[in-house]
Amino acid sequence: MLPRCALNAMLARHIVVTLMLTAMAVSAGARTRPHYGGSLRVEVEGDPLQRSDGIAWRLVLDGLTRVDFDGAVRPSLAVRWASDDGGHRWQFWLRPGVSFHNSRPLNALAVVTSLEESCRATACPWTAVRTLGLSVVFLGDNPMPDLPALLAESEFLIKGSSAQAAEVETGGPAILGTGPFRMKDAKDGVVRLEANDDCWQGRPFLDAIEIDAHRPAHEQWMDLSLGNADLAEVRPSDIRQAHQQRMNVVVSPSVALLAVEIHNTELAPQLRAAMALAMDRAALFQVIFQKQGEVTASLLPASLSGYSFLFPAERDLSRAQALRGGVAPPPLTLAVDGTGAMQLAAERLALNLHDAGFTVRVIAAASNGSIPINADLVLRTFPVVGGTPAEALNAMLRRLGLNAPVLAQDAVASYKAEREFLDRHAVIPLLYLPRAWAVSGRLRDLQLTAEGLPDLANVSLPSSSEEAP
Amino acid sequence: MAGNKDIRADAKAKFMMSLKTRLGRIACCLFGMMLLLMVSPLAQAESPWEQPAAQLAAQVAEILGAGQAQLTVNNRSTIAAQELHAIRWLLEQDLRARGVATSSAESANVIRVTLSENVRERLWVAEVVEGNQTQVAMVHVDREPMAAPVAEAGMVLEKKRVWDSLTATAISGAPVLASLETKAALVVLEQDDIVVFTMTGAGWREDKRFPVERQRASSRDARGMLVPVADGFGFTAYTAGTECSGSYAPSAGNGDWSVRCHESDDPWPVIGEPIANVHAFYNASRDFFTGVITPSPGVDLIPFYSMAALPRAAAGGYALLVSGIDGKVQMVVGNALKIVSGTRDWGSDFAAIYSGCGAGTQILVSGSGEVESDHLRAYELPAQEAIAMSAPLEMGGTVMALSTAPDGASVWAVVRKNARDYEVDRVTALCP
Repeated sequence: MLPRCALNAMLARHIVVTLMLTAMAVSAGARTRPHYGGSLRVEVEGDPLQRSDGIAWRLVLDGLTRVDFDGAVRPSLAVRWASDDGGHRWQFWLRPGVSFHNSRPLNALAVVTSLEESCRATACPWTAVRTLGLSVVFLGDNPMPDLPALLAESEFLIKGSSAQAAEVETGGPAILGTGPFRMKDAKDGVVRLEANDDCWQGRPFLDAIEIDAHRPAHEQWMDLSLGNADLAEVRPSDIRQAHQQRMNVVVSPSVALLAVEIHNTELAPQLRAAMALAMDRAALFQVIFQKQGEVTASLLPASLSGYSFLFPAERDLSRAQALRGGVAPPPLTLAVDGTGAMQLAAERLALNLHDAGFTVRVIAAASNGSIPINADLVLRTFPVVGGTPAEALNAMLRRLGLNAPVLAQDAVASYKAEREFLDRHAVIPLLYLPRAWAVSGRLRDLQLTAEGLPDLANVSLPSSSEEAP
Repeated sequence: MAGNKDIRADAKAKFMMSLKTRLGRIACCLFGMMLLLMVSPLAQAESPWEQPAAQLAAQVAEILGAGQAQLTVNNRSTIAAQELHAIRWLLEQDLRARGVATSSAESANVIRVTLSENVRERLWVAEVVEGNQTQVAMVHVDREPMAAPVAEAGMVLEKKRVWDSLTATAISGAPVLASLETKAALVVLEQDDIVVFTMTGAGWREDKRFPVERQRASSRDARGMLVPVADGFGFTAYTAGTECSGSYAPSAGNGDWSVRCHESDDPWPVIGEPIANVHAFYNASRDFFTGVITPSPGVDLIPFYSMAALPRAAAGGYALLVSGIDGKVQMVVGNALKIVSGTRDWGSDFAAIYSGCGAGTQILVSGSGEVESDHLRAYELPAQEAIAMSAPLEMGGTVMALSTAPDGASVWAVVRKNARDYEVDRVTALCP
């Protein structure tokens, strides 16, 4: 259990983060209504078209639903939905008058085709999805209480079929969506997007966005300071440094859970429990991640659940050693999904485990980013999304490979489900981490989405006369 | 003598008895008053904590059964520290009523109550420790609404909440573009609907909802306008590319509303009688007027967000004040366009108010377009310089639209308090 002062400090940090976000929104407040026009240049470390958290993905595509800033599930391409048969059947009515970027109308068949394609890449909780007039029907063997929230996730955004998609200038297929921006081209590591004048949500304020991919962090910051970029990524471990360099930094609340997955199923339960007790979360938080985020031993942050303090996060080495007893654990490998601070965190965890009598070797991800399949342990981040505790927990459990939804939509049921899952010690939560972005003074009304991505569809740039000194 | 002694002794005994009774009564009264004083904050108004305390106590008692336990109460929420004593007192009372005696001394059983919260609700958690076993009980507590601050000083602007989307209707989440009170109803123009509210004993309640059918997508910063028609009952609604007419036929019951919409690029009446009759063309795919107005002012206007009229006897009756999309505020006086100074703090929305204070007419101006807590401030423009006439009036959200009320003496403000919560306020000016 963390001491009260540490928890107060955590709460204070959370408030500071929220205030920073608010302050940023305030300082970015428009003196006039948002101005139409202008082009924005964004630089990112990864691939902007990567499915899970690529910045371009949600600018081009929409889901049947979306998750609001406050975590509530809202209509998007579906205007309403209803369930029956105890959540085994769901019907989503599509928004009329919506078109893909190639002007073809969005219809139920296009939605079904897109979702079936999604299910080839990721596990889907439904067994069948069918068209029914201007609606789509999902059927499942198990109840799907959180389907509306699930359909807001990146994996289930609606794409036009590959056959419909035009070839962009690179020769590769364009991502064809209904979102506020359409893909213009993608070449030399730069993705160019242009405003969708016919967007069903209204044309975005910006005319165009240019996203420079695979750009190292120090080059992003340099470009931002020289006025060559408007938006750059800031890793959680670098947020403090960015502030010290007097950059305008927008920090999201906690949107990712850093955790160790235990893949080695032969490890005895008491050894897993011993590993969880041996890990020094406070050191990760203070040293590696420079006091950004929150220490945790639970799956959901306190801001979502309100009960995370019930999961003690303090290191207890003597109890870990006692739990291990005289058993000599086999040598283990720890793979890392990431570089930089993630790699440092893995090495630190290996030392922690060594103190408790475990022998752990850290192995890096392959050059293409894939994680070795035979790793005993994997350190990675999981997105934290969803409105109610049950929705967020179900989304998290699904990502952790568990398809047994929490049916009751209250905190008590979520707590019980979370406790039951964590008592198996298949996953060891460590930290909640924010996402952060450094922004130029030109951007107005920048807010972050529930996933911690900048909502560039609602960003505007000042008119030329306003920019003049 | 003996008889006298007996009588005296009897009287003394009676006096002593009476004194004891009186003292007892006084003590009882004092104790009762003390008790009343102790619980008076709870007794005067029903405490919001009574119900959750009772629910949590019931769950704890079910786990623990009758007996003794040590009670601790920790606060991890935004509940004020001075409330904790009352909450603990309620918990103790409710536990005692269910057979659980609490103490602060060491006990085999421990009840650790934590007052927690998440972004949606408060959560009170009790960890009930019996030896090595810990069981958990939880109850939800609704968050209490927060009061919005009101400004005070100088020429005072006063706001009165007319309507709130959270209390008046099911939450549609749609942006509110404009609002108007007619003789028959309160009309609210949402992005996709026109909603008619009728007054009930509990305030404005949704009566009818009419969809605004439109052929093209609305703009991202959608805007609209509601204008009363001559009979005082009906209205005309303007949104991007669509115009709707609402009419009301009074009858014995609630009356009958009908709304008809059609595609339209006709100009919107940005300034109405009796000051002037000015219409402006709106750019349906953006959030501003094109700059073309009728009748022509004799000069070319750049696209603008807002327009208001100020009485100017020397300039043919009135001068037009224009908030350009370039951030500049200009005034059309006669056939000339002049820059207004002192408007650095102005947002893009303003409306005239004919208050009778000072010069008689002021401009109420939003502080900015998109901040967490916007404000309105009254200005006069004796020449081409804006002079603040009031302290800023905090609006508790972002001012999304301003319009002069039909009576001219007040301004209607649409305020976005958060993504789903809109409020319509009537703002008036009180002379110093």
